[in-house]
Amino acid sequence: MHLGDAIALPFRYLAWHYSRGFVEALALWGRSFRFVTELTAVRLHLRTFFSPFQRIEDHERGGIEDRLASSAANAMMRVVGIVARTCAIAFALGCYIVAAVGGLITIAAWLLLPAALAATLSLGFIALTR
Amino acid sequence: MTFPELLRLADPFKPAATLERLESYEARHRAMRILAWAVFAVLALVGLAALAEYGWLPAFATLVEQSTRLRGLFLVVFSLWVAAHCLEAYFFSYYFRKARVDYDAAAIAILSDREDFTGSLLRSRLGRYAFLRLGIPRDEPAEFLKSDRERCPAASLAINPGEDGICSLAELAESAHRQDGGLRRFLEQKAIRADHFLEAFAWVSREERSLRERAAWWRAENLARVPSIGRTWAYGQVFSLERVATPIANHAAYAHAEEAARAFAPAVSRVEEILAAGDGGNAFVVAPEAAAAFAVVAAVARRADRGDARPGLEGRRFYVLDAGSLASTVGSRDEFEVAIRRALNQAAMAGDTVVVLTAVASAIEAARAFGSDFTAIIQEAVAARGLPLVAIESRKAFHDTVEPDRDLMRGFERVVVESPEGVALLRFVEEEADRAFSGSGVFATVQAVFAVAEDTRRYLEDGAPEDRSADLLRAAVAAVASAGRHVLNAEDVHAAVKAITGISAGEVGVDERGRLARLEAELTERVVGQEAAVTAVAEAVRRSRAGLAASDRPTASFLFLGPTGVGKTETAKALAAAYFGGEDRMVRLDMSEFSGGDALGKLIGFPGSERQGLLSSALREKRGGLLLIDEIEKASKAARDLFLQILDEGRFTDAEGEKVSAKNFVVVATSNAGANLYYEALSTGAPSPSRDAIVAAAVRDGSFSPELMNRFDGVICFAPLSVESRKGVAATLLRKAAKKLAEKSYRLLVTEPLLQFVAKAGEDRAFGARAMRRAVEGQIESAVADAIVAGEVKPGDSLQVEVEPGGKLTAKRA
Repeated sequence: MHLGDAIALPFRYLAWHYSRGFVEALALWGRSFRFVTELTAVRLHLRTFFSPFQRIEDHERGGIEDRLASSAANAMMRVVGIVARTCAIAFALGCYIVAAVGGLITIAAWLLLPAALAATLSLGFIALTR
Repeated sequence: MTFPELLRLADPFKPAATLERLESYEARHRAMRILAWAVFAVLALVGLAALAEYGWLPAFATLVEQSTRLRGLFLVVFSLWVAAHCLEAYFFSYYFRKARVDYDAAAIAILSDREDFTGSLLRSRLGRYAFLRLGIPRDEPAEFLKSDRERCPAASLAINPGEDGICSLAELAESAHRQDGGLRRFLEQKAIRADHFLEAFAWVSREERSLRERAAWWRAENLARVPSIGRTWAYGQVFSLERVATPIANHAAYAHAEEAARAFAPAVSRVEEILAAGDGGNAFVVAPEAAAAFAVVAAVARRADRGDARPGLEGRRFYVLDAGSLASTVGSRDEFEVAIRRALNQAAMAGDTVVVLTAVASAIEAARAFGSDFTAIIQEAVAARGLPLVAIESRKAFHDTVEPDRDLMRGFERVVVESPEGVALLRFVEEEADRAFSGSGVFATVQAVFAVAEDTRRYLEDGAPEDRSADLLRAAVAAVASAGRHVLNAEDVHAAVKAITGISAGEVGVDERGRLARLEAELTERVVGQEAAVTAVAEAVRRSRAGLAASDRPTASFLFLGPTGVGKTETAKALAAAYFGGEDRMVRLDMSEFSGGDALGKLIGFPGSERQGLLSSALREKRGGLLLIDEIEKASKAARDLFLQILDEGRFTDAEGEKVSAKNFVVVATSNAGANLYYEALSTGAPSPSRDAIVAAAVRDGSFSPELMNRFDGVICFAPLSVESRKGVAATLLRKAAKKLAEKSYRLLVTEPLLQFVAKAGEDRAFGARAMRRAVEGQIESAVADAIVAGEVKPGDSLQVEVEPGGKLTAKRA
């Protein structure tokens, strides 16, 4: 056991926690937004918002009735696409909110964590010895 | 780089290294697991106590009294659990810092004993692990370190950074090995090669890094692996494509895609880069075999499916369109063109599809047969730029059909797949070993990994090296696992090579040592009167087996010169039996059958024909043994040139352009050239001609070119049999005949007149001992057969064969 290292560790840790550690926590928060963007493919859904669902389109060329039927089918697939993508985008928005709020709480918790840990540990020991 | 410079570079890693000194990574993670379970258990108790307090679980009423303490315990274990995770975040924050030294090397440098660097290296966790990889038990390095040895001070180190400019654990090990004579002597005592020692450190360092990278889930590359939601909604269905193509995941190669990704990493990366560029990039993947090119594309598809690929490729669906079989199965030009165009248009419309075209060369040819231009169809798709295409083809088909078609390659970038060799093959085997052993409980030593790479190159030449090495590794692991052992050594790999090929690889084992020592005796037992020739052959085989022979040529090669019937072929057969374990290990070619213009084709196959050549198929089938080329002087010039190449390079290329190896064969060529010199000497009473005179005569009469003669490791002259030798041969032949009759319960008495009779037959200059064999097999056995058929002798009788005055033989009961 290296006593010097053991004594120095809490101080080194605290120095890291409020400097490099804090910066990395912020970076991770930023990465969480990128993660949500990739996970929900939100950019793709926005770009293709009005496209038919799975690009299903009817290309029948015939009489007026056929054309009307094709247009109706195509409109229907676009509606299906819009509804599905709206759901996905709503889900993405929810994820962004969770990431933003969760990240904010995490950052706040990060700042308080050393003190909170010391407090819970002390309370725990006090309760144990009661 | 000096040690102080290394320390300066290592400084950013100091906090993590110091934490590691307090408690190792493994111990910390063990503690974290225990704490996690403790949190869960205490929380459960707190919950039970709370329920009991409300009277719901009276059985746990006793916990109510302890609820305050339980809550206190929960706060303590939970705080410790969170603190442990904070410490890990602290550790990883420093572990992944970028510097000109990696963490493992930095940690050893920081924590090292400045007066005994070797001790620090070997005592470190990775140092101990490296010795396990070297198959050395833990206590042996410990004893070495405790011994009275000269210490290697850190200040004396001169460290050379690796090829990437980064100093890693292997570079520290190399420096210690260079500076510390005591360490070198210790390794020599343990028969550990320097390259094995260094590779052990490189391997464990890579393993460690890979584990840490996987554990850090928050890193961008790990987060990117999570698949996206609803990505496919944006893309179209491909019904027409699915009619003529299949998803790549349905192909067997997809299951082994990770293996291919490791074996062909550069090609996989290049194909991914081309397809992900998004500017209409198409790739034409060319490999020695089409299967390897397909494996590369399967690896890219697998990466795209897992979300590991570059952004432009993520989530893309790969469909395999076997253009060759489509072209050969459709009924007409229109049908073919419509099917292909519709499939490619729909794939382009879908927007997330990559089409993999296989059998391109045969598609071009089959389409041409019904007047269709496959190249033009492909070029339409290329020009539309909406669909990434990957075409794959074998190197030979590519050169023969695709390359001359300049239009087809427009818009395609060629990616050549090179099989891993040297260090790349070694690394591939290491990664395969980690993967192959993960479920088997078998641990591979560095020596085993080297043996796989080296034996693959030396003994398993047919096919792609990565496939062969993976197969060899699997066979060796299976053998070790079935024997209930847990460590895979080089010997196990050599044994697997022996099981696959019948060839003894690696160090000479006890059995083989005995066989080599007895070689002369066993040969002499069968070959009478040719002691000098037998000794020369035995010595050459031993030299080859001791590893002194060139590795890129046949094991050994001999030219046996001498008259007919003096034991040349018999020596070759005896060698096959004594050394390779049986005459069935011999491939025999009578070159009088290969003297015409088609000789070369008969040996190596005819282009376009599905039948392999006699030589190529026999060598592929046997993989190792003895190649006997009888009467080589009768072979056509082309055939002799082929043997010149075999003797020179140990391999040749067959009609299909595939390499065929003869490196694991002892090549024996026989010839009668120069034999007349012996008979001239006998008739004139002159002394027997010298070896040099016979060789000169063989070259002079045009039987051999000086180049071919010089390629043999040994030219061995077999002299005509002396009277004594002839009697010896006669005795051997009669013994064989007696043995054969004994199997039918007849006992043949070998008398002196009978011996003389057979020996006299050997005076025939044209046939030598062959005439003696004929005398035994023809005359003696016929006489015995007559007696048996006439009922004069019965099973259990002793037979005496008498020579009558006219030379006729009669057999009767003795």
